[in-house]
Amino acid sequence: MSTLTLAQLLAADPGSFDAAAQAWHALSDNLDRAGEDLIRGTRDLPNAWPEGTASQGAHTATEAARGELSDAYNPARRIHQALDHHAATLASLRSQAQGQVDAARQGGFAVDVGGFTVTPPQAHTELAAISLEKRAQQIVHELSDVLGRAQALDDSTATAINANLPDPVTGFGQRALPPVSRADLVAMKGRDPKQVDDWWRSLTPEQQQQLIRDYPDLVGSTDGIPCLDRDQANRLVLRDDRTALQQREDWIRQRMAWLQAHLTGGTASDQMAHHAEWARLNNELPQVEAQKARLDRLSGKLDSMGGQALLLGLDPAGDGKAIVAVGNPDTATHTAVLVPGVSTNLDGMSGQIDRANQIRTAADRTMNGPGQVAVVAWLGYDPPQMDASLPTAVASHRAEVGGVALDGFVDGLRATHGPGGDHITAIGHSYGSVVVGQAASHGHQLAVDDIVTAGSPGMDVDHARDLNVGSRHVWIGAADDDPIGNPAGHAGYETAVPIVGPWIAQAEDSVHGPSPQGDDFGANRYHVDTHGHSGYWDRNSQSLANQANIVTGQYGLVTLDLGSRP
Amino acid sequence: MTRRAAVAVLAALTLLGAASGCGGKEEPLQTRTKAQVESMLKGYGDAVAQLVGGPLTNWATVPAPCEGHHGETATDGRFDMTGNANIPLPDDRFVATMQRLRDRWQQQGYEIDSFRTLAPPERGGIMSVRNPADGVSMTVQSTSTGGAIALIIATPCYHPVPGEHPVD
Repeated sequence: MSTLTLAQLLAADPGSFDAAAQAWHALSDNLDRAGEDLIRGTRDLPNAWPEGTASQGAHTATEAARGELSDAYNPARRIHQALDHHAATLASLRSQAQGQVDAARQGGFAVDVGGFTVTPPQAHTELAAISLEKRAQQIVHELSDVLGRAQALDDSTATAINANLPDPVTGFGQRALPPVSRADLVAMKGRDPKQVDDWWRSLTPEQQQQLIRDYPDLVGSTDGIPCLDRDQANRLVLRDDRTALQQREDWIRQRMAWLQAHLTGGTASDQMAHHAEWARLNNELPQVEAQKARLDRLSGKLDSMGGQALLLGLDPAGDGKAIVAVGNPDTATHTAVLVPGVSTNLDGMSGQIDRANQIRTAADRTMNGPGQVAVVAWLGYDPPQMDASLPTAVASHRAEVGGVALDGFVDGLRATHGPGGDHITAIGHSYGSVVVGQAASHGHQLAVDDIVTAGSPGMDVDHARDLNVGSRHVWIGAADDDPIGNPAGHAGYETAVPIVGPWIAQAEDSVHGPSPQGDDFGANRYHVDTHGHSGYWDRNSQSLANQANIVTGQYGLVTLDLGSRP
Repeated sequence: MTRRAAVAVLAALTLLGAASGCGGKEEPLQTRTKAQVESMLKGYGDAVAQLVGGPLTNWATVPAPCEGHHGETATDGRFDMTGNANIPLPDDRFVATMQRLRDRWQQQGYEIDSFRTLAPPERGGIMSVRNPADGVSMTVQSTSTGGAIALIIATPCYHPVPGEHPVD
């Protein structure tokens, strides 16, 4: 039971507890990293060195070290959390107690903090004396309440620390905790990303690695899991999908060769069946080859980026989806999420990564030192393609679905971001700006600080304020000759395109709400000096420089054609 | 015709327009080695650092394929290069330094594309210039954390010398 006194509470130094909390935080982070490094570094040891007494000894020692490192992480983290909570709560309680003492003294009461007594001032009437005595008792009661809470805090912090200190003989132990089930992981998917982040960090490094190894598809796609872990999982998904496609291709080729050799043998029925199967496989083969080539391109692009790119999402089904960050959003001071538009798919992901890299490079070089900006190429939805789905560009359904996904993804970035600055900008290009509009309105609250559009056909809202970030934080850009983003450009279709021109202009002018480029929309209009619908990220252009200064929060340096800076 | 069909036509036209090739192909380009361009950029950087009165820090050069007006990139080896760096500079000297740079560059015949300093209590500013003699452009601006300026130097597009692939 705590023996904390009022005098000790008033003299307490929350800063020293905060410093201790930070030290334990650093220790737990280092243990986490060391555990992951050890797991990664020794994972293939049994294959590389499978036999012999020395090998057995090495494996045993490795497992023991892995277990102990893994078991040390959570206790260190819990002590950090206990001290962090203690520092913040102690500061609050000390402030409350000091406020009560100060108020009492200003009212003429004598407060002896050492003896914990409160003496009322001299009263001139008996009635007043009774009233002052009651007030003195009330002050003692209020101070006792605060002191009681401080003592309870003291006890709970001591309990948390003692429960998590290593045993003098066995240390933190070497027994690995049981593996986490797929059901546990499934249950976390879709929850508030902050909850997911808390849960993920409560796991030991070995449990995290087990989940990444056993269920990479789920880990890689769950918002609230740290970016480095998602990247690790998604690269396994990429590798496994690539391997599966290669195996399928090999099997198809072998099977087709066999069928070819047996087209003329056997019964007529056999021959017909062989012909039919051969034709079906012959049809499937180029699709498999194309899918494989698509993953190869993505893989090659990631490799070409070195350690700069993180694969935060991958779904090869259909037209394919992928989320790639250039830089680490969990540690960056400024992060932008670039949402592409019509006709983007996995085949075009390299170009999106290049754009993200352009923005990152432009933004990063306006900082004092590199590495403080991350930009995410976010193809986490299914844009209309240049095929039968193109007419869906008129509708907002794909943007609605994409908006929900984008909202969750950004919440995930917020949840997993480490200490320090956390400024996030959403950049919507073309139909991507409709997705951003949906994510920031219609009951959603996209957790970004700024919204930028480039060549937007509309955002499914009537006014910039409907995007819930403040009108001054909505930045619209459209090239003069961009037929999608600039309403003036639409008019050109009325004369330039025979017959359907007026329809085009009308559809583009109204289908996704008023043009954000318009004066009545209420947004800032940044200066664009590039051309067409795809030039907004030309290197060394003012279009790009303006976006870079928004992304890094240097609003004063943005060249505006309309509006005013925050 | 329905709106859907109209938008389909619009999108098709837009993509056709975007795929029309790299702009500037017809312009005569000079031929440079990668080392020559790096050296030229460093020369610009050192000159700015001397004018500002501080060392170049975080100096980096990045070669890239030339870009057309619609963001399309050259695939025939044509390249340009960007150099960027920081130069330490106390915030209270920023505006005077920017004015000094502008005056000097005007004397040298550079075109001042933009010049803006922020009014207090904001701090900082941005200036973009271009040297018409060689097409090199420079941007100098304040940094978000202060205490330094960011310098960005960009070259025009060049042909590589035969056998060299500066972008690879």
